Amino acid sequence: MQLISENFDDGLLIRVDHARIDTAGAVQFKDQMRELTASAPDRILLDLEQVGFVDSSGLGAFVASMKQLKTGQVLELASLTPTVDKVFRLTRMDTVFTIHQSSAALFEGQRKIG
Amino acid sequence: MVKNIFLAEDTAVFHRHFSSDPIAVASVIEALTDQYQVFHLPVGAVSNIEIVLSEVINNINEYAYSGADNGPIEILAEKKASKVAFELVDCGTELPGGALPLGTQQVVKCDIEDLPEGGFGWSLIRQLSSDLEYIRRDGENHLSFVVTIDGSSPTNCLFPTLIFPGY
Repeated sequence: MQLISENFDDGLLIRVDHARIDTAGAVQFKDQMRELTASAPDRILLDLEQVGFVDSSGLGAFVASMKQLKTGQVLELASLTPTVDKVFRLTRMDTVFTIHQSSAALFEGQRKIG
Repeated sequence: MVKNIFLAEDTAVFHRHFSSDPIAVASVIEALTDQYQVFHLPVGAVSNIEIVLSEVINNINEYAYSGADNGPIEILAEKKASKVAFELVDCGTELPGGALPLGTQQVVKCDIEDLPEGGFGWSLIRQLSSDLEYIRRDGENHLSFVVTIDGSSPTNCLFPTLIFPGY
């Protein structure tokens, strides 16, 4: 499981470079999210374009990642693939997270930092 | 394994024995979803199969085998006219009370700190499959269910209107 992060003026973009977030990888995902978000700006966007599948453990890891944020930090999601989108809708997690079609436009025009 | 109860080996289009470790499980599910893509099942049906099987096998690993990675699991799949039927067999602990969980939707309209981090599995299984049956026999758990080929969410979702009157 590899998470790639990029700092922008207004937030942190995290891309998941892995096809599945499931029982086998949920703990590792949560730990890496904790590391990356510990010193992150308030707006954190998680791009799931490469993730074709999320199971209930993966969903739990998203919730845990949100719970471990500091006050003021917000975790939003982008680029859900069809199966991931279905799992979010069926569990109503699409009502918990703000979900964007794509991450491309969100930090457009902003300077990359570092 | 003694004998399949719901499906017969000679009519199954997919039949594997594997062990309850996450790597083996992922490869079996991948092989199965590949096979159904070959059958030109709609994408929605293949993803329903992938979701339901992942949750069913997660439960076998986590509860029937308490996380041990060497428990035997058998899967059979049979393609019928408008659906795919599955039977999963394991030698682990019986389901609590000998009955299938209801799969009640988790409540997510709450504060962030109260959000559930688990308990989504049976709700997904119930929403995406139908004809769920469970039998405990000779120390084995036999679970069968069908996934419809049109890829829709079927009918045996028990509780959404009860828990989420707004939906």
